[in-house]
Amino acid sequence: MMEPTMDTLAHRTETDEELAAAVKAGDDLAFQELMRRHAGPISYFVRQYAKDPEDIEDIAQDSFFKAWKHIKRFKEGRAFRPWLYAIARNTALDCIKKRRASTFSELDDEENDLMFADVLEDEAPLPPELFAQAELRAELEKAMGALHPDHKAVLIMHYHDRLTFDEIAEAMDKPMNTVKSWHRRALQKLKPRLPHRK
Amino acid sequence: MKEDLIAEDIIRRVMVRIARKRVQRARALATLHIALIAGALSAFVPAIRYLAERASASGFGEYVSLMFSDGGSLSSTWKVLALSIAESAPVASSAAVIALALVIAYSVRGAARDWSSLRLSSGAASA
Repeated sequence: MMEPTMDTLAHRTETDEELAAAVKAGDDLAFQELMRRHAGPISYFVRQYAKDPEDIEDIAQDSFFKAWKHIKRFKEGRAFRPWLYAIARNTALDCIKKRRASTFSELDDEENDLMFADVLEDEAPLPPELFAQAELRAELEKAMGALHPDHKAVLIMHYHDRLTFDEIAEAMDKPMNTVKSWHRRALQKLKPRLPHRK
Repeated sequence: MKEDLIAEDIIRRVMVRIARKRVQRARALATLHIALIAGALSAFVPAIRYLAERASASGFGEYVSLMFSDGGSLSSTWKVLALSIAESAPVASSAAVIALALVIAYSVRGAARDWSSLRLSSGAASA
């Protein structure tokens, strides 16, 4: 098998869903192209759940391996990205649970539940340049450190990876209201921590 | 650039894992096919013997040989002869021999495919 490199991989123009269909048919190069497209975003996404660089790399690798192993379960007509993010999130949560068997406080606390009183108005969205510019991103990541991992994940998927709330809900296997609530709460907590932004 | 290196590393490691998984699967299938071949072969000889015994006991062989030995009366007695052959045919033992032969053929084909798959995957898995 030829060793893949970023230069030697032919940059294919099919959609993710077309590539997934090719992977089902046994096309290894199609799977490598999918990894090329999503390795960076998935690694960045996983960082919201794990801190250790080794863990992040392991989770990212496990996620892609599981995606390959279960590719036959990926149904035609579905969007590929939310499916992949769902695998990555579940893999990350499994890793965290294994490491912290006795305390799930980061994952199952009340803060993450949809509260009855959670009917506040939508917050104004974050400016897109926050994720685009490296300096601002560093500032943002520091501010995001205090957020619940799922809340961080919602922000990353929506602003950095450009998933819709629909797709995020599918990826996280949560109702849309829950995802929007997490988004809202994350913004409420985040904005005061961002210097020079109100 | 750093992100490219990270992605490249992930791609390489995942493809190695995939190759190893394929080797694992091919080995498991090869073991199954070899077991099937061994089992079917060990039953094949007794099945052939049994088929020969049944054919001899029922007179099947004699009826068949009549077709070739007494051509003159064949034209008038072919219906009776055909019925006798059909009645005496050792159906169950023939079916067993044919089934075993098919199992051996399928397993040999499977084992050949597994061997080819193992050769292709082993190189990638050891990377």
